[in-house]
Order: sequence, then C-alpha cells, then structure tokens
Amino acid sequence: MAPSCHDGAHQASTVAADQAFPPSPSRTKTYALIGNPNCGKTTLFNELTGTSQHVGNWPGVTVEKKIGTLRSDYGSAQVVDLPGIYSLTSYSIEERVSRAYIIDERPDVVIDIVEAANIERNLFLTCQIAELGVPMVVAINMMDEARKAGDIIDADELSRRLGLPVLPITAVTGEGVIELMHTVGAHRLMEQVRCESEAPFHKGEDEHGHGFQDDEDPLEHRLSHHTDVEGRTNALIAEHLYHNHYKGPMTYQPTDEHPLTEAQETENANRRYAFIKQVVQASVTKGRAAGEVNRSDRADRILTNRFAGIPLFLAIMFFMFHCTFSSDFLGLSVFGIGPIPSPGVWLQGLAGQLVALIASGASAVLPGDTWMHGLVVDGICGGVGAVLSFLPQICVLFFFLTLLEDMGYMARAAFIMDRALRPFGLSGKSFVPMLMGFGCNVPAMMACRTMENESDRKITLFLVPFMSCGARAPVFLVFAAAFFPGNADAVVFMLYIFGIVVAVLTAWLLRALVFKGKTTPLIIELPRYRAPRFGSLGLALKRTILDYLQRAGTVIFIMSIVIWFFSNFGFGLEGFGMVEIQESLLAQAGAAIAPVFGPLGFGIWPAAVALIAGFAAKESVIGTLGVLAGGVQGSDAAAGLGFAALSSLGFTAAGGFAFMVFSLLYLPCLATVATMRRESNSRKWTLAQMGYSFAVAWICALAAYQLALLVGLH
Amino acid sequence: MITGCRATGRTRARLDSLGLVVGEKVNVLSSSWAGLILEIKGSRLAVCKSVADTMEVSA
Repeated sequence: MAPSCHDGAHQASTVAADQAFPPSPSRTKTYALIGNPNCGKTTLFNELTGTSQHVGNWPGVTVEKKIGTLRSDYGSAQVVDLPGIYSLTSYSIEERVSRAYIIDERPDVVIDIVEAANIERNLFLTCQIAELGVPMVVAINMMDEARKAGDIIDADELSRRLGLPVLPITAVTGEGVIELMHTVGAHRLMEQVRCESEAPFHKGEDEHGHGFQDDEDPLEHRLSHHTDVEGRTNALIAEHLYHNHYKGPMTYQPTDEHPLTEAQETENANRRYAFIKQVVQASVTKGRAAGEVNRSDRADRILTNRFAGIPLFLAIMFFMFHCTFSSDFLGLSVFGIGPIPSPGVWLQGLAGQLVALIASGASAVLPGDTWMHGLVVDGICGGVGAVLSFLPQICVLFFFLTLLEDMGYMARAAFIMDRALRPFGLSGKSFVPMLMGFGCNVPAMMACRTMENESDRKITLFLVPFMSCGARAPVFLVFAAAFFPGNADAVVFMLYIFGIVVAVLTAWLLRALVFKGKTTPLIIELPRYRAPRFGSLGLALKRTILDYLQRAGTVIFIMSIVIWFFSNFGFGLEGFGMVEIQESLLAQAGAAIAPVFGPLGFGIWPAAVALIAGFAAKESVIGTLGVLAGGVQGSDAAAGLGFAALSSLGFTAAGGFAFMVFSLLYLPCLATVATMRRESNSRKWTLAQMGYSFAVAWICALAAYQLALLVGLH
Repeated sequence: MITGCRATGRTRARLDSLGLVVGEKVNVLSSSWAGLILEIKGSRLAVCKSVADTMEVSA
C-alpha cells in the first residue's frame, strides 16, 4: 500500500495544503504560469507583462523559467513563466524545474493554462498540481480556436466538477485575461485571509476593530471586511472561491522515503483519466467527432509520407536558402528573364550601398591620411559595416525559420528524421535543437533540456555547434558570392547539409565509443498547423535585428577597433608607431599561426587572424576581413568585400572554399562554449568538443581544398 | 482501443501522462516509415516504431 493517499474531495486535504503552502505577505506576490508544452503560456506571459518573449508553435520553446512584472492594469505581482510539461514526474530537466519551483518557491497562485482543444489531455497536469494542494486557478486558453472548431466548453460546469476556479481566455487577443487576473487576485487574497484567520481573535473584535461575534466563522468575517489591495472589492469572488475544493480522485502520493512504484504511477494515471473523462463528458461538447480527418491530417499525410517526407524537408530547406542567398531567383534567367536577385540578395545589396554611402561620407568629412580617418573608415566602417550589411539576409533566413516553426512544421521534421537518424544513435528529439542551431547555437543547446536521456542530451550538446548559425552565414555569403557567383545558394545549402552530415557521423562515433546503448524512443506531440501570425513573425524579426545590432555595436565594434589598431601599429625603424600593415603586430602574430592553415589553402595571416577573432563572435570573421581589406587595398570600406578584396588578402577560389568549410566546423563561439559548459556541467566535455571540432574542421577543410584543386579551382 | 502496454520506465510514464492508457480509444491517422501518428484525446502524437510495437490494441 502507498505510504500516503490524497483525497481531493476531502476538506482535510485543503487544510494540509494550506499548511504546506502558506502565502508569505512580506515578499512580492508571485503568480506562476504552468501548463502543457505549446498551450500558450508564453503568449499569456507576454500579455500579462507586456514583454515579447519568443513564442513558437511546437513543444519545448520555453526551457527555463522567465520572470516578469505584471502590467499595472492587471495588478502588481511578479509573473513566472515555467517550462511546458506534460506531468509532474521528474524525468526531464524542465519537469524538475517546474516541480521544484512550485514546491520550493511557493508562488502565491499557480495559473494552470489548459489548451481548449486538448482539454482532456491537459487536465492530467491540472489534477497533479491540484493534488499538491497549491492555490490554483485554471485558465482555458485558445477559446477562439475551440469556438472555430465548434467546441463548446462550459467553464462553470468544469469549475464545479473539478472544484477549481476555471476561466475561459484567449491570451493572444487578451480576451478574458482581465477576469482571469481578478480571480487570481481574489484567490491570493482568499489564501492570505484564510491564513490570517488561523491567528486568534481578541474577544469581541478583530485586530482592525471590526466587531466579531463568537459564533462567526473567522474566514467569512474577514472576507466580508476585506478589500483587495488593488482596490477592487473581491469579497464576493473570494467567497465563491472559498467554496472551491478540488474534487479529484484519491491517488498514491510519493514521499522522499517512498517513491511510487511503476504500478502505482500507472494506477494514478488511470484514476486521473477516469475522473477527467467524467468531467469532460459533463462540460465539453466537441464540434468534431474523433477520427474525423481535418486539414492538418491531410497535410500530414503528405509532409510525413514515408517516401515524400525527407525529400520535401530537403526541398523546403533548399527553398529557404534559395530565397536568402540566390542571385538568380527561381532560375528565371533560364527563361531569359533577369537574373533577378532573391529577396535576401536584393536587400543585402541595398544594405551594402547604405554602408558604402556612410563610409564615403565619413571619408569625405574626416581629414585624409590621419589615424582618425583610418580608424573610422577602415576600422569601424570596414568592420562593423561589413557585418551590418548582411543583416537583411540574416532576417530573411530567420523569417523562414520562424515561419516553419510558427506553422507547426518543426515537430514534423523531427518525426520524419527520427528513423533516418536512429542507425547513427540519434533520435528525432535531437533533431529539433539541431534545427534551432541554424538560428543560434546558444538557445539550441538550451533546448536540449527537454531531452530525458542524459547521454542523448550530451551527444546533442556536442553536435549543435556543427549546425551553421546565423552568425556564420556572412562568411558563406561573402566567399560564395565572390568565388561562386552563379551558384552561391547551392554552395551555401551544401555547406548547411554538410554540417548536418558531420554532426550525424559524430553522433555515430560517440554512440560507438562513449555512450553505448540505445537512444530514447520518440514520443512527440504534433501541434496543429496554423496560418503564420504576423505578430509572432514580427516579434521574432525584431528580436533578431536587435540582437544583431547589439552584437555589432558591442563585440564587433570593439573587435574592429582592436583589429584596426594592431593591424596599423607595430615596431618600425623609429620605434613603436603606425607602420605598413605587413609590418604590423597583427601581421606578425598572424604570420606565426598561418602555417597551421597552409595545407588547407589559406595559410595567410589575414585568414588566421580572422578565424581567431571569430572565436569571440562568428560575425567577427567578416568584420576582421573587412578591416584588413581596407588596410591592404589602401582604399576605403566603400569597396566592400568582394572578389577583389579577398584576392588582395591572398585568398584563392580553392582556399576560399576550404575556408568556408573550416569556418563552418571549427571552434564554437565564446557564448556557445560558455553555454555548453553550463548545460553539460562538464569542463572536460566542453574542451573535448572544442578539440574535436578543430580537428574535424582541419581535416574536412584539407579534403575540401584537395577536392577543389581536383575539379580545377585555383 | 488500447488493451495493453509493454513499455516500462520513463517511456511508460510518458505514455501514461499523454493519455495512452489501457482502455483508451486511439485513432491511427497515419502510419509511415518513421512510425505512427495517433489521435488521442483530441491531440496528435507521433510515436516511433519501437514505441508503437509495445502497444497492444483491439479494433
């Protein structure tokens, strides 16, 4: 028999819960948002706090708790957005984070968000939270979609059956959120009053001087005299809440000494689902019969088809790169039209012209042949400008990635790739962080927290840096456009695929040598396909632009100044001072390292220096080459980084190709290394990844160089 | 309808929490090389072949 058993229908359970979770009036009020993955927690968090956290249409977007302050029109409190979880078991990190937060941090009220369309499945977590006895309010979210599907949800009946306050909302439009927060405020108040009521009253009056009869219930007395701190009189609502007591089934509850057996956990699940079924049958009318095929199902039959699934995935990816990098959009030149540049290339051209205009303006204003002219025009405009000119293309790439995510395709990609990856010791669940790595490796590594299996997680952390992040894209764009002008999109696409291939082979190696054993089976929820929402696309783009500008204004700016300084100063005949670039400190340091890259076809000091700078931030590779090109050419940054500039630095087509391969695979940037160290909790594992990636990059670049020479590139 | 499940450990716990419990009705929306897409309790779940093999169902 279980060590203890919880009876949700019994008054005693609430009292016990109050003792376990007393509200603490001395600290800031805290409301915690909890719910299944992809149920709209972050959308509600953004609505409540006025922030713009990333929202996506696939499970696992939020992997760590986020804290914000409630907007003043909703009251005053801290809001905590917890990672999405299916249950309160402790198999994955985000489940442990959520469970520990509720139990240890004791939020004043837990707002449990339930997706209207998936109400039955979502209520499983609701039952588990209610069994903990925490003060909670249930918000049925995405009511607009439920109504569209013809579902009718009787929130009052649901509330009565569950014994919990239930409010219907649509977080994305703000519908019902005010009412939700009134109830949450009242609920918190009720808990506070209930706690105060346990304090003894003076005979005849309470501590506020209100008359108190001996036969009066202390709680009801306080409710009738209490006004909410936000100024709203919530006594009636609170009184209503007072009569709410969770009515769920008896379940086995674990203790530290007696964790549940597998049979008890299964029995608990059966009891909860049996209770939920009764509740849902009485309060929800489904507009669509189970098994009825809808548009999402029809789309899935094509997109996850056994023969078409993977080719379609590759085609979608190629189209994304084509729109971003191609100078002959849709191959229209074959029909005698154009060539017309793709949106990404067209926008990059405009940005390049703008940067050139600014550089020319600065050059005209500043007196020539002075260090200030060199610093501003060659250093800052050359370095920061070279990086900034690629911002539009990065935006186009992110636009497509966000679009795929928002429409619900990412989880499908993980599913269709699962079987193909399994022989290499990877699962589809690893593929999601890998895809995220195309944007930025840092959040991709954090997304590994959703993986239950520790060895799967460590392997995926090891692989993510091989996925080409947005910061590496400028390197490919510059070199592919300079040396492969007609096929830039195909070359870039091939590099991205090559990154995946290296990652998969690495996984196979790790599985064979380090982590022997099977991968965790894939069980993943597929979100419904949704039309892309311009709001979330706009937010994602805004975040990308701000992040890029911030990096350009900080790391790249500083690196550009440092690179300019060391490429213009050195020890000449008259001691330390400005010298020719070939005699600079940077040239000497770079020349000492350059032989390492000699066999790879780019054993030139500017390449060595650029790669080292890239360790701080990958954009610095192009920023550095931009600064050095200005110095070598003796011209201003308006010329841009084209074939002429790269040739003047000593790059050849074959060497440039090898340089792209090396840049794709070599050391991850500093931020990624720090994240890997934190996520793996292992310095050894992080150092091993760095050493391995450098070695793999060197070998692959050598092979790429030899291949390029074989096919006649020079 | 699900009549039995041979999965154990965390896989079983995950299936339980997602509603794939004995006695539950389940619709197979598609069956592919990668595994199955199931409709259960109004949501769609993709399970790989090895998980699908642990479940016993009756028509």
